[in-house]
Amino acid sequence: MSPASAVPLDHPKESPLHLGPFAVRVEAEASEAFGRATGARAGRIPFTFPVRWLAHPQIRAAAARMIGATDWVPIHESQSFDACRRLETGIDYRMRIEMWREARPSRLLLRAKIATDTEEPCLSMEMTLRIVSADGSAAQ
Amino acid sequence: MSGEHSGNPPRPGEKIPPRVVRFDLADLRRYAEASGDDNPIHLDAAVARRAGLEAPPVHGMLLMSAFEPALDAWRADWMLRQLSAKFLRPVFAGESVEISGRIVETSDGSGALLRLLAHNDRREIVVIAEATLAKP
Repeated sequence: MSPASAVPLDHPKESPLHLGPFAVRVEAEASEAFGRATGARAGRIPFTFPVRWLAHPQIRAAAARMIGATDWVPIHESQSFDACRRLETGIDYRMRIEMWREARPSRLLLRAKIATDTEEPCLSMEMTLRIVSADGSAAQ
Repeated sequence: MSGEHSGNPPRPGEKIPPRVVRFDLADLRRYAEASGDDNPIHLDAAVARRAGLEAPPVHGMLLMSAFEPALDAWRADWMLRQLSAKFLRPVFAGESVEISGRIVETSDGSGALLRLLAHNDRREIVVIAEATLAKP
């Protein structure tokens, strides 16, 4: 079983919501803190560091609106990173987001593309979140 | 360890040395702060219990991130290009997890595809992942 193909992201079930571009940057201090938290080698940007950018308030707010319910928790089902260019500290990048819902089971799917300020592709990320009620009952 | 491999490309079937990691609640708090993932299910035992879990689960992304230092300890001379993971079972704060992996495919000495696994103490697979390494 291929993790990348376990949850196919190629065919959104609903029209995706497009967000961005967001200006994102690897700040040295944030990268070092992320590396300490994950055990990554000092002095190198951790490979999974860009997931931090998905905590942007506008993305979280859009996700909450798409989910619609009030008492839910996201359960991370799958994640991928595909890098074609190494990120550098202190450089501005542009991140564009596509986000969509699936109903059965209840999921939120997100695809992020990160490029340089001249639109050279750097990285894409895909995230699948299963949405469950906070009381542990079945998907909404 | 990485020095043993200098100049030799990875070979299909080669295994990465298993590595055991363990994340306690302080580690989860540190990761939440560093990543911005402050989902309370990972930080608050009451929230976790209400969701039907026996304890706060480790962030899937923290488990996934543990593959990088394992790969780095094995082959620091090659770089990660792709990493994908599926989170199959929760790992609870304080539980040990063994990271392992092997090469399933190589390409012209310049790239390698690896299958990676994380097992809990009961030898259940908790994360299945794939990584692509490339020669810098």
